[in-house]
Amino acid sequence: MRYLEYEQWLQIEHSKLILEPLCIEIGPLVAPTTSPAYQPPWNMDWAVIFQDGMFFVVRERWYPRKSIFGGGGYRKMFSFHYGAAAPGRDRDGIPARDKAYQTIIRVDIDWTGPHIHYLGEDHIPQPRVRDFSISDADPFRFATAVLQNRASGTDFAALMGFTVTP
Amino acid sequence: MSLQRRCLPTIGAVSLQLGELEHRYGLTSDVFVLHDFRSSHVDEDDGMEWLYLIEQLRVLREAAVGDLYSTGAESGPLENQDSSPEQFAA
Repeated sequence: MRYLEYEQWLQIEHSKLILEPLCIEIGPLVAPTTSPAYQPPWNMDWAVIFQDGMFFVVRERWYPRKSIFGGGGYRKMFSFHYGAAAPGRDRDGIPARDKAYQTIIRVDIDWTGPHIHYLGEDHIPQPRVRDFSISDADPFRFATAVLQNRASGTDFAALMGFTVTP
Repeated sequence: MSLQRRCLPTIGAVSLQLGELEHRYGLTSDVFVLHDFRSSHVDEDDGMEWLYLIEQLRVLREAAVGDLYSTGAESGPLENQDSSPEQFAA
């Protein structure tokens, strides 16, 4: 994907989302590395802090893709997190990660590979997560699942269509 | 809220952010990448940001070197480019 395509996609998808009233939204913040060539890498951070002290944050990191594979960028790492907001804030005003504060769900690809954190268990790898491709996780579907969970109480496994196996 | 572009990164700003992470964890970036990062206790978000900043710095340095060696280039080093934030309506 090219940076400007990504930015356009973000704007379109973001405009479809209806957030709860009185929440605090930060971003989506995007950062190309160069301009006007918009060379990768680029990043995106977006957070919503709810009135009850819960929040979600979505972070994506896109890296250069070799020209023989089409050039542009590919999403190498990301984290989608929903849980209790710690009082600390990063430079963007997004709640800083503090493991003392409960994580409800977190979907990640970092240097340890695709995994989720769910129901108090950390680093559940892809082979134990059925019917859901972590690599293909969509930030707006995640945000929608958060809003639906808050509205209906339906668990994330049902909302996102996955099963965690032992 | 609408989509917002951050300021364009500069080599100096990215280096400063890397230095903050190195100081926080008591690791140099070389050690983090080459030796320790798979087994380190670096927070996942910090680690993701750390690796991203290293990649960003690599690209910025390559672009700066390209500018130095190019002839008739219209723009100077990346640090001198416009870094004003841009706001977009969603």
